[in-house]
Amino acid sequence: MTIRKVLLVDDEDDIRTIGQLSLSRVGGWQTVLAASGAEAVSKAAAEGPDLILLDVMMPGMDGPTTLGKLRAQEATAKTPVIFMTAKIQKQEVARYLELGAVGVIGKPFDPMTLPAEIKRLLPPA
Amino acid sequence: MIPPPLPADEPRRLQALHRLDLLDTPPEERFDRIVRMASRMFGVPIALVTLVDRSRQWFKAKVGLAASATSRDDSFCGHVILTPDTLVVPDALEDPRFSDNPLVTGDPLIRFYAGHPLHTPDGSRVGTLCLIDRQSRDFTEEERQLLADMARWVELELNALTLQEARTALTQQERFFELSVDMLCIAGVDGTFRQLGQAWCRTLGYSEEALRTTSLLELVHPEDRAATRAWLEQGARGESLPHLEHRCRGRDGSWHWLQWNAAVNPEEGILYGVARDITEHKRLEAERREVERMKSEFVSTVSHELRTPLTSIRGSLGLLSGGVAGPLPTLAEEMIGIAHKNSERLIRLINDILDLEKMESGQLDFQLEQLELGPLLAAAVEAHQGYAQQYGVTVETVVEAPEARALVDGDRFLQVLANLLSNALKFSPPGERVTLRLERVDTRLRVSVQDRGPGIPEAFHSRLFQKFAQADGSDSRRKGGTGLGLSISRGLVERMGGSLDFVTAENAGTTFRVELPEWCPVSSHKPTKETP
Repeated sequence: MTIRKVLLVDDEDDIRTIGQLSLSRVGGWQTVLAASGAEAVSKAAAEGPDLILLDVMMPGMDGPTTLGKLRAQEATAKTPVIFMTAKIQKQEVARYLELGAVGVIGKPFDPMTLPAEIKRLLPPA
Repeated sequence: MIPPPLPADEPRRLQALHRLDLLDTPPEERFDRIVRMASRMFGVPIALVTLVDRSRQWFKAKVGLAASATSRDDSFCGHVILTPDTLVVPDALEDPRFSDNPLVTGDPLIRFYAGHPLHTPDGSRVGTLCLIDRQSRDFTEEERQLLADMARWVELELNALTLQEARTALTQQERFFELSVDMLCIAGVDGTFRQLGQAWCRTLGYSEEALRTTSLLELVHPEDRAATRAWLEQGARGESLPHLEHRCRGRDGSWHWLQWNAAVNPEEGILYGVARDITEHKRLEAERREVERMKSEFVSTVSHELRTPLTSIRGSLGLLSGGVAGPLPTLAEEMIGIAHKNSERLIRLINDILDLEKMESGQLDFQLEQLELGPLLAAAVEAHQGYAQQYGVTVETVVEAPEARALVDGDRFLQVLANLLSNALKFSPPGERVTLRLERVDTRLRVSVQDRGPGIPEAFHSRLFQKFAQADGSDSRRKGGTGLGLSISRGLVERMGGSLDFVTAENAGTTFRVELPEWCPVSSHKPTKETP
């Protein structure tokens, strides 16, 4: 699939900054940012990204809950979601995939290879 | 008169006699009733149970005779103990052995004598059951048999536990009951105490009387009562009793954890039990588990919390090194490179610590699958090509057992190979090669990683698999290791049912060997997945 716009959701300011640099400068994608699950749900509906990078552990609404909300609204029901997590345990990965994520990326990620890793997880165009 | 000769086994016989502990003891009804009965049955005025001592014969039981002993030389019984047979003297005056015997010529004027020897369990003849009459008489074969039967009865009594012995045994038992730190008891299978050791009173604080009138079930914590009742019922049915742990209430209201080891005698409905107060042990165990849980949580949290800022640090440095912010001055590029490399190292260290912690707390997430090892080896080599080039080392792969399969977690197996390969590459001199080999050794598969480096100093062999083990601090720092890799690798291989060891020689290189049981295709035709 072709990516033009990515929504990056993370509660950490610095990680949003680095992620955005990576996605835009290395990946060449337009990047939209959200600092919480709730913001992600509204931004996703408004911006219509091709892909959502979603942090798992966030205060308030966590990643899996946010995914549920995204799936529940029509505009984002089918948008591919990739989770980002520091606790990359196999059972958890399996659980996230069951929830409907297309993949999981472990933290800390390497910003120079992040776009390539994302492309690898997505179904071929 | 012919005095009785000494039997060949006289010393042993005397020992057996003295072991009975019966000489010179007061009369006992259990023997008296036998001589009374013998006197009546055979119609003789005198019947005796005699014990033949060193120089006398002593009467343990007697009817019709005032004396308590006579000289062994004069005795008829001294002759009886020479053979296992009954000695019958129908008329002593006619028998040269006894015709001038003072017991024949004088009181008690013996004419007739019949005696049967008495044996101890080791076969020693220690005395007789004998009949004496003042008139000569015959003794039929039937009477001989009867006398032998009665002698056997005397033997039973002779060898039964004496009152003294029983008392001694009881005293010893009572002493054990008093002294034992564990709580000894004899109880009915309904839980009522019959005998209790002092430890029960010391531990629970009740008096012995109070405990004797209380059922065990009343002392037990309500939540443990059903299990205790079931356990007692199991004993009542005569089944062997497993260990039981339950809580019992002390007099001050405190609960004591008791661990039981017990056996039952189902015929008597009696339980012999030893209970141990394991309250302190339980407390320490719970404390240990809590500390373990806190440690595990701490390590996990700290590691996670470290990752978040590290993501930013490594990310920023990575972007700078990657030129995302534009070209950097040479010196700045060098410094950023150092910082980037070290942030990578810190991440590896955190990952290793987390892995170790999970391994130790048994939480390491494993997915065992029967996989071909060849492709895993190829993947590991592929992943290390860049690293090998960096060190100017080549990696050769020798697969002697293609298609060999083992039950492994693919990612974790790759992690082990990565660790062994990176070690081998780091310690190889430039221009050398590292050999990765897969072969069959008996029924197992061996994956070995061989380098041609300096070898491992002998003094370091025993510490090699320990955490943070480093042969030489400065050397390890130069090589950039965490000191956890081999410890983790061994743990991982063992979780996959294998072993990890090494052979090394100074200046001749080192070979690390992973051995795993081969997955046997006969045992299963379908691929299986297993998550322990």
